[in-house]
Amino acid sequence: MNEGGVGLIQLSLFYGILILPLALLWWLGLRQLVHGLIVGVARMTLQLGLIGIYLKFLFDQDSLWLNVFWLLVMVTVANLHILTRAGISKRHLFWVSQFSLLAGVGIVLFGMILVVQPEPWYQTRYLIPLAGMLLGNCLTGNILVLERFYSAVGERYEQFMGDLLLGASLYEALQPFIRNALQAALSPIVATLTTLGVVALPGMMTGQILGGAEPVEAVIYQIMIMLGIASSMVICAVLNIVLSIRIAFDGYGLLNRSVMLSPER
Amino acid sequence: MCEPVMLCQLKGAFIGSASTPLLSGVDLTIATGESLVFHGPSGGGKSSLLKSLLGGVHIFRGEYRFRGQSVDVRMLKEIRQAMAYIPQQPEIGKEAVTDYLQRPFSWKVSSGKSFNQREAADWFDRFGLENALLSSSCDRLSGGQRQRLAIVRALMTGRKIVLADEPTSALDDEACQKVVSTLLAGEFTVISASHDPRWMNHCSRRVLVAAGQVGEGQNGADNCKAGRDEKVGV
Repeated sequence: MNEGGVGLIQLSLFYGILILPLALLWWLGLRQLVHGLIVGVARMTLQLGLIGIYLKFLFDQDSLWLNVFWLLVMVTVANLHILTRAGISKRHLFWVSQFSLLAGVGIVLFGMILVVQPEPWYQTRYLIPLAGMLLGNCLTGNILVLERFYSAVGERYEQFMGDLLLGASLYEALQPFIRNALQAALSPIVATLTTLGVVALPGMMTGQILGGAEPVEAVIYQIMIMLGIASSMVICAVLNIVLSIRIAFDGYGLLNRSVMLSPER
Repeated sequence: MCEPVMLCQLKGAFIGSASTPLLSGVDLTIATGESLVFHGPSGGGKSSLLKSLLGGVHIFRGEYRFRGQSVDVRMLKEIRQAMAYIPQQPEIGKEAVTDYLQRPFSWKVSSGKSFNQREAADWFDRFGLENALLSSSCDRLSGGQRQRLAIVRALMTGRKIVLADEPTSALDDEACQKVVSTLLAGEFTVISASHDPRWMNHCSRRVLVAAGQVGEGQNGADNCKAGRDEKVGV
């Protein structure tokens, strides 16, 4: 074990750190949260363990088709999670959301491959982790944008109708709602960009530095990642909201209420 | 005398959705120049009937003709541009009053027209709204002020056909009088939903919308007698 490395035994011992937060929650009578935390940690361990094994398999194979297949699995899981959490009917908006994610992540990933120039271009070591970083961040952005947009239209339907029935086109009547939802979904990433490096060191960069990389090299990667994350978040969120409108509203411009389920918080 | 120029005509119209119809078999003819009010109990469908004339609620069976033409999805744009809709309890949000009034002028419908602050101020005077409110934000307005603001916004489109949903529900007597004397003085064709006698008594035609009532078609020429009561079927 090299200096600074973490072995499996050390890691298992580190699980002991959880005793403190669990004891605090127990003491406060938050039994359900204690249960939730234990289950969450168990799932995290299992999922990351399996993904570690699977990623090793993917890295060894380094096959284009296997990578494409795995990317599609990642996008689909992200998509299902987004629609569930946003309380949107999967039957109606699965394909729209799938397309938006694929387009937003795909365009940025393409740009990143041009910059990094891995050999071969689909090298798993780059493609899968980069896609994972982008998707992980698009996840929250898209949940927020869809949840905010559809719940706002539902709650202030009369305001929307007031504009629509006065002669606004569907997009004109929805414009205030689209703007609010995008503002809410995208301002966190703007805030993150503004304070990055000062308030918090990003996880990827920290990981790279801990893993032995030069700080400057880690920073360059981190900048590329942040540019990519911000771009793909905006592309995915805008596409998702604009395309979903075509499905969720009918020819009269009226909202099909069956698109909205109750959001899971 | 009133001009029997047919504006809107419903024939055997079913309003709502096939699974949950709100009104069934509605027969109704509305002529230009009329001031008509749908009245009846809350939840009876008068607001939905009003909105259905603008495509705000589906007419899933029967016929709707506007100015003699059968209405389909492609005609909705024309209808919504011809009539000025005043919503029931305008939910406006936190935007500035002038932004709310200006928004319709940013739509394609109003290309060529631009927002005129003086015109807005004139309308404000007419409805007893202080001019200072023009620089306020909408969430500071009282219910009655918001209601009049929505009326001003609709009238600033310059359209002469007004569809008003409970236009006086939040108004005191003085403000109500100003709204009645502007909208019901004959300058506008008015189609409205209301249960406010201060408004209903000045409308030239009353149509009852209530559950269990059987539709009664009327032709345009008969409808000019003030205060005439009709029933619309459910």
